[in-house]
Amino acid sequence: MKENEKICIIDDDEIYIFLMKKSLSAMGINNEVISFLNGADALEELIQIKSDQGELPGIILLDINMPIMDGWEFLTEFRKVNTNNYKKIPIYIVSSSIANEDFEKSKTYPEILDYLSKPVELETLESILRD
Amino acid sequence: MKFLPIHKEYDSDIDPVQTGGDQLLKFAKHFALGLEFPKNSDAAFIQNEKTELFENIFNFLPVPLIITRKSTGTIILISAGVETILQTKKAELIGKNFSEIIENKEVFDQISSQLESHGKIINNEIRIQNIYGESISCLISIETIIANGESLYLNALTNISERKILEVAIQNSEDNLRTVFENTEVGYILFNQFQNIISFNKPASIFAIKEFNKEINVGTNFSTYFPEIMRDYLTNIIAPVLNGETTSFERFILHNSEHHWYYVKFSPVFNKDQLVAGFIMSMENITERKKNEIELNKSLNLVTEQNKRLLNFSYIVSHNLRSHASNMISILNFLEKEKSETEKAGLMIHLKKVSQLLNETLFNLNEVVSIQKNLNTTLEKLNIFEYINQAIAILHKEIAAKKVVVNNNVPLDIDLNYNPAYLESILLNFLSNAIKYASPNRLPIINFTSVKNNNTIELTISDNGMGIDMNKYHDRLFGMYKTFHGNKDAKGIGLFITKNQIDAMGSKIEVISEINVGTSFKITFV
Repeated sequence: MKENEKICIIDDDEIYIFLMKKSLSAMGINNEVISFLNGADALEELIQIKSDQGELPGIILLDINMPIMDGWEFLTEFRKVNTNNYKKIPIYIVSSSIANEDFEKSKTYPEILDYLSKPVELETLESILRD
Repeated sequence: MKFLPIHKEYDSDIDPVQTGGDQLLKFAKHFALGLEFPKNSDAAFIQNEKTELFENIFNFLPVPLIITRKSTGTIILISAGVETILQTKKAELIGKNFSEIIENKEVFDQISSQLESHGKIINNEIRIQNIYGESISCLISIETIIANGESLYLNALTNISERKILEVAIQNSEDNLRTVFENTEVGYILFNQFQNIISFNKPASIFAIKEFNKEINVGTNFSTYFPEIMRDYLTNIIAPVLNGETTSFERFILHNSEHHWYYVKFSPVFNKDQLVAGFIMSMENITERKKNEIELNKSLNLVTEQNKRLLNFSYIVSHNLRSHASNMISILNFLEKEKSETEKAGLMIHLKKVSQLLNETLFNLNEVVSIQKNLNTTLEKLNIFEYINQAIAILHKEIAAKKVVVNNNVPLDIDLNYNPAYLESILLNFLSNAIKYASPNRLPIINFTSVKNNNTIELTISDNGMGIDMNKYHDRLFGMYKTFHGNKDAKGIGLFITKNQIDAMGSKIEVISEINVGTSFKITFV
C-alpha cells in the first residue's frame, strides 16, 4: 500500500487497537491509522470521507463481533457506500473467532482478501501492509 | 307300459338331490307313483311287473331314499344313493330297523312323534352312522305313502356332511374373528354407505360412552354421535372414504383437562363389484404412546437446545479467551523488547486491564456454567406479584431518577414453581433494561402483566422506551456481549444470562420491539 494511504482498524477491543498501532510503529510503518470501535462509527466516517471526495483508506482490518454494527453488517453497508468501486479497498478480517461458520461466510465476500485469526503474527501483518 | 308325464307337484328344473326337503319328496313320489300301466292289463301281472320294475329302478336311483314300514320301522327298500352315503350294500340294511342306523336317537324319537301327528316332516337334521361307525349329517324328509294297502314311510335323505363341515369351519372362523374383534383394544364400527351403523365391537362402545357419553346403536347415523358444529368437518373427512380412499389422523379429545389421544382411521368397504358399500371406522387409544412421544420430543428438543447452547458457549469461550490471550501475548512480546521504562509502565497498565477483562469474562462464563449446573435445584412456589414488587424496591433509586412509572398489573394469585434466584435475576434484568433504555422524549412507563393458562404462565414486561431494531438485531438480541444502543455502560451480558436462566428452566421468551415505540418481552413459564 502507498505511504500516504490510511490504515483503517475496526475493532471493539481498545487494547487490540493500541497494540496494532504499536506493532505498526515497531515495523516502521508510519501510515496514518484511523480506528473505530464498531462498524457504525466506521461507516459514518467513510461516508463522510467519500462525500468530501477525500481519500478512502488503503486497507481495512475488520473485526466480526462488535456491538451496534458487526463486521458482516458493515461489509453490507459499505458496499452501498463504495458504489461503482469508488475505491477498491482490500479488506482483511481480523477476529478471535475460529468458528468455521465465520470462515465460510468470509469467502462469500469477494472484497475480503483473507481471514486472519488473532493473534496475528507481525510478519503476516507486515507482508499484508507492504504488499 | 309308459312313464306318465312328470308329477304335477314336481318341478323338473330343480335338482332334488341338491335341493333336498320337500322337493326331494315330490321327486320320490313322482317316481314311485308315476308308473302306470294300461287299464286292461292283468292285475297280478301288473302288480308283479310294477313291483319288480319299481324295485329295480329304485335300487339304481342315486337319490338317497329309504322305504320303511310305518308299523315296525323296518327298512324294506333302499336306493343306490343310500348305499353311497352309508358305504354299505343294501343287503346289510334291508330288514334292519331304521332307528338302528340313527346316531342321535332322541332326535329321531322327536321326528317320529311329529310324523305321527303331521304325517310328514321336512328337512329335519339327523346323524346316521355308516358301516365304519362314522357320523354322517343328513337332512331327512319323510312322507307316508300307501302301497298294497300298507302304510310305508318314504324317507328322503340329503347328505349335508360336507356342508356341515364347512358350516363348522365358517362358524369357527367367525368365532375366531369375533374373538379378535371383541378382544382387540381398537374400536371398530362398520357403517353402510348411508353412514348408518351396521356393527361395532366392545372397545368402540366403550369409546363412545367414555368420550361422548353416548351408547352406540345399530342403525343410527354416524353424524348423530358428534356435536352439530363438527358435522361439516366430518362430512369432509367421510367424502373421500366414500370415494374409495382411506384416511387416517391423530386427534385428541379434551376430557377433564386431560388429552385423550386417538388414532382414527376410515377405510372403505367394497362390494363384489368394487363399489363402496360402506366404511370401517377404527379408533385406537394412543394416549400413552402420544405422551411418550411428546416427552421424547421434549427431551430431544432439550438436548438439541443444550447442544446448541454448549456449541454457542464453546464459541464464546474460545472467542473471548482468545481475544484476551492474544492481547496478553502481544503485550508480553512488547514488554520483553521494550527498553523505555515509561513505555513499559504503559504496557503494564494495559496488561492489568487485559487481566481484569479476562477475569470479568471468566466470571461471566462461570455464571453461565452455574446456570447449567443448577438445573436440578429445588423449585419453590413463588408469587410473581411479590417478586416484581421486590425488584421495583431494589431499583427504586433508578426508577425515581428517571421518573419511571412502573405498573405491577399481575394478579395477586399467580404463583410459579421456579428457582427463586433466577426469577429475581430475570425480573431485575428486564426492569433495569427498561429503565436504562427509557425514551428521553416521553414519560417512561413500564407494565408488568401476567396470564395463567392451563399448563403455562405468561409474564409480559412492556415499556415505551427506545425500542430495538428487530430487523437488525433479532438474531443476536440474546448473544453474549451484544449491545444495541451505543450505551457505554452496556456490557451485553444481562440479556444473555437472563436468556440462559429462562432456557435452562424450559421456559420460552419472545420479543416484540419497535424503535421509538417500545419493547415487550413475553416469558412463557412451563
